[in-house]
Amino acid sequence: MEDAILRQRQHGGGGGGGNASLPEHVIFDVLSWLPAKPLCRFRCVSKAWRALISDPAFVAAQRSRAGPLLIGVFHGPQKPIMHMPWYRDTLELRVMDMHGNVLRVVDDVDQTKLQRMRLGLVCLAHQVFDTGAAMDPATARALRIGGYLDDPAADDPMIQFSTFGRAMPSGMYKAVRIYDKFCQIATLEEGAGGGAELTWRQGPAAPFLPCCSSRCTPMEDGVYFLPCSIHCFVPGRNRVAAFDLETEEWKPVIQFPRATMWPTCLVELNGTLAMVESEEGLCQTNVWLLVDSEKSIWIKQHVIQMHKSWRIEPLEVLGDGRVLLMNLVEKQRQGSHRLTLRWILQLRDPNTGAHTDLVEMPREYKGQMALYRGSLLRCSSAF
Amino acid sequence: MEVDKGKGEAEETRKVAEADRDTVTLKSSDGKLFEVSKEAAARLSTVLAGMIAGGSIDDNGTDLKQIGSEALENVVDYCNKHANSIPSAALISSSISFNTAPFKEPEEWERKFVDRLSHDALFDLVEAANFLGMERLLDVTCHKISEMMKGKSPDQIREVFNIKNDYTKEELEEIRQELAWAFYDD
Repeated sequence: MEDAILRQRQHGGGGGGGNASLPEHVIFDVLSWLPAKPLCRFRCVSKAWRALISDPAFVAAQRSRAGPLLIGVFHGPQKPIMHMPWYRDTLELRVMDMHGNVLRVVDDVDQTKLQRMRLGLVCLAHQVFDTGAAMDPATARALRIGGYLDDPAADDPMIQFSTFGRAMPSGMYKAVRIYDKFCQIATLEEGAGGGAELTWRQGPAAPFLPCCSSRCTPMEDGVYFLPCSIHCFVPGRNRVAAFDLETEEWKPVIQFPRATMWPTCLVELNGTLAMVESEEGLCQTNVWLLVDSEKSIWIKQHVIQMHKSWRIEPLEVLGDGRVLLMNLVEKQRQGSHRLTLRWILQLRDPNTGAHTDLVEMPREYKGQMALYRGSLLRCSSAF
Repeated sequence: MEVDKGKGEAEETRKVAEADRDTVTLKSSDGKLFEVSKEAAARLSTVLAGMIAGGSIDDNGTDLKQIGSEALENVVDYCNKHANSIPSAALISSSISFNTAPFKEPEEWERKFVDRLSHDALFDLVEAANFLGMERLLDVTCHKISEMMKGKSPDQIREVFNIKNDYTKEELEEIRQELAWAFYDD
């Protein structure tokens, strides 16, 4: 391996001593600066390079240099309908870096509701039916985790809600389907293949029925749900449900910070559950952090005044305390008095309240963004 | 982001006194002598720091048989420029970097320093930095090489690094199919 990785370059005179070579750790350093796409291509250079690029230590080093990656849903190019003279719209997933460089496109996905999660896999749901799927963006392989209840004893097949997360400390990925009277759990076996049938076991009923996947967020200690937005004002329903993936039981519900509030989403910020709330006719966004789940204690960590802004979705808190967020901003169209709305990826300094624009999302952005914690360098699927 | 460039050039042309105790003399493989400040050498190179501490520095020129004169000149140039650059802390706040690794991305003057190098000179400098244990210079030069690699095909990379293709045609085709997305334009 060492031999193949060494460089046997001829010096053009005036150089060092004849055939010089770059040791493996130098090659490691050079390659760790590269983004995923050329790296995947450079697996073809030699077997030694392929081994290096697949090495977990290298994958970790490369990721720390690339910074956080995002995955979002975008409108893709139209595609012809088979044997028909018409075209249909498509949607695609894009993995991108903080500068807006697109690293990977998974085209023509049919499940397009993206759950806010911070895993190497993404959970997608169908726009109309909540038939969820787990997808590995590195390989574009999807595993269906949702579906109608096919129990012949049930007289009325229920549409359910499905999600998945990673159970800790076991580290196993588990899928959860929630019906009105019970839930079902399945373990996603590693290397089982995309066509694998999951084995479902029955679990306890949820304290309330979640309404859509975008109001759910999987975290290390469980999957958290918000009730349907029209239920948020109903006394007794203004709370957060949490399913412990490790013990496969429901945790005690968590009360909202205030009795009447309108949370727009749950998100994990630095390992803490955060609830995002719009206030005062959308003029202000509050980000509440859950500090004690047993006593339902929240603190209002960020108060974001929204000037010409319609919606704010925090994504991550960086090491230096700055908040990475998506901001839906109104903009004047060029040469027109009409206003248009555009999503902008921004960094917010919590001390000064200043927002720095990073990337304006292209027109085809559909409005769902999550952090991507996986590595595009893998070529074998996680399931 | 303004970096003081003028100071570096002035330092470069400075004639170093022959028997100045603040400097060390380095000798390239082809016998040319270079002087560099002892402080900078010890701070930037673990190997030179070890030699200075161990007293194995030769006043008539410490032999560095592995390093050619062109590469050594660049090493000395880098040490001098580094000594005169604005401390990086002042720059960090104004730039947007997501790098969480202990290595920071190259600063403006470091980019300019490596940009002017020819292909061969760059590779020689990488080897020199590696040999002398100059971590920062190694990072900066490796970063530059990685930038040159973007958008290149595996064939072009094999040529640049002079690597033998040890795959069979079938194996290559298999990887290409598995990772088809990576073979479109960058």
